Amino acid sequence: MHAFADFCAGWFVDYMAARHAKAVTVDRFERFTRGTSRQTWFVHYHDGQGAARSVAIRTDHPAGAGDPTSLDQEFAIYDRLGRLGLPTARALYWEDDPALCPRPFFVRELIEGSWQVAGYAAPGDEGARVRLAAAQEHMRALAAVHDADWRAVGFASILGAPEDEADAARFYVRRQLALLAGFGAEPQPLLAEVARVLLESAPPAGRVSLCKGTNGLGEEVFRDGRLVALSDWEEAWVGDPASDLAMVQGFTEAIVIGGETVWDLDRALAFYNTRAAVPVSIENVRYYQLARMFGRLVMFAYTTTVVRRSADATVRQSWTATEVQHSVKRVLAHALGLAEGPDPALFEELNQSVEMPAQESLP
Amino acid sequence: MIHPTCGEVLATVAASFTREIVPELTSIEARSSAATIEHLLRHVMLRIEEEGEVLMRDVARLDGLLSQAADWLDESGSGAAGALRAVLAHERADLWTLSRQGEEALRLRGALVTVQGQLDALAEDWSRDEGYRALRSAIGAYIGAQLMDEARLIGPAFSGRGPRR
Repeated sequence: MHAFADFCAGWFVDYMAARHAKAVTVDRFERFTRGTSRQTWFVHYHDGQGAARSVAIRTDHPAGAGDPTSLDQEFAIYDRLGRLGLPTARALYWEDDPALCPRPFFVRELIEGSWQVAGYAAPGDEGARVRLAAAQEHMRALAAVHDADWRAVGFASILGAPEDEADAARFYVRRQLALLAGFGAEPQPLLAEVARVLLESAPPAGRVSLCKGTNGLGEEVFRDGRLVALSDWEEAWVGDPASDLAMVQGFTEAIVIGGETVWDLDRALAFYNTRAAVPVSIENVRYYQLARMFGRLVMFAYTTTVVRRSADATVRQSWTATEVQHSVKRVLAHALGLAEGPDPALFEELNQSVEMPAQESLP
Repeated sequence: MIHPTCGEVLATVAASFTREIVPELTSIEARSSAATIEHLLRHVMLRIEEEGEVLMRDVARLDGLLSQAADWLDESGSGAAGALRAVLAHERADLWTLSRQGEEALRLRGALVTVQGQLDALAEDWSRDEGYRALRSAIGAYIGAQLMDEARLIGPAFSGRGPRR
């Protein structure tokens, strides 16, 4: 097969013929622009029998992923998720033959839907009801993740696991520090200070569960207002479910209907606790708000090494290593009383992309 | 000074990019990358102007903080100050370039992280000691001051200037 410098429609046609002995025609080969840690390509094609098919290709950026976990770990996560019956895209196959691809990748189902929720940005009570329904849908999905039997499908063999509930928070911090040591980040006194505080104040978990990591608006797939696929599992770990409630993008923000606040973090947690087998405490959520930011800073310290070692790193990775990393440092330093925090409006700003001007009308 | 300066040249690059290239872009992927590039160009222009001052101030702060740490470690009799004294006695290369300033700041930050680990190990016996607490407090103050200096290179380039991606 021809050598291709990067993934493209021509490569996919050649690959399907060489690896899978299928003559396909590609209708669309698109890159998902919001992804920062890795690349996602959407491929819509017709197979040899003329049937329309769609898949997603996940691969590292040319200079490497933006987070310190490996692509094959992500594939293994999706593989096990498929066996848990959670709403996720099924992992189909892994490929790393250098003669057949620009770099290793895996293929998963492409679930029809969008990270955007129809009507989410609508003004007034109408939009508020859409946001409330989406947020509740997300809480139900998180509860299902946390109730899932992670031991049965061997998540500990790929992610490790704390010794018990009492060890969960320290396990999280140790895991981050091990990653940090592993990729040789530059010394950061702030990270050392935060790690100390987290280890000193580590709370026991209510239970040890599979935790999704990155979650919320922009990370999951919705269709007709229903959450049809939980996506973006690169920060997944086995530990305290409170960690997922601590960093929910968008879906724990206040919602007002008819002049009454019907949703915020406390109400989201109460709703979650009516759905999950074991409740999560607000104290643990507060702890993991700091711990997860610490994890993010470790991730961005890794992204910095990617940018430093290769000009093939993306401009998105440069942005992550500059503004985003700085913002997370400020949040952490503020939490420890060491510096001013960033403007609270900044995080909504960071989440905006050129394709979503409608979101600017959110209250 | 060589004219036009780096900042002036980059300003024309950024303006031309926004005026002549960005309107021609049709795909979301290209527009998204262009948005990121515009932000990063502003960031680089700010760093050209201000990073040298930020780094030199960082080096000066770290010199003072590490000296304070070495003094306390000596007083505590923990025997942990030797390596730190060696770091401080290291003959400093000239700091004429940004890269050398950055390397020196990193070298000293590495020494500070080592000190933080030493203090953690001594906490059980010394955490109520006035000097220990003053040193911990000084480390916190350093982290905050360095971060707010760094903020000068970030905020004006990005905040309120549109989607980043």
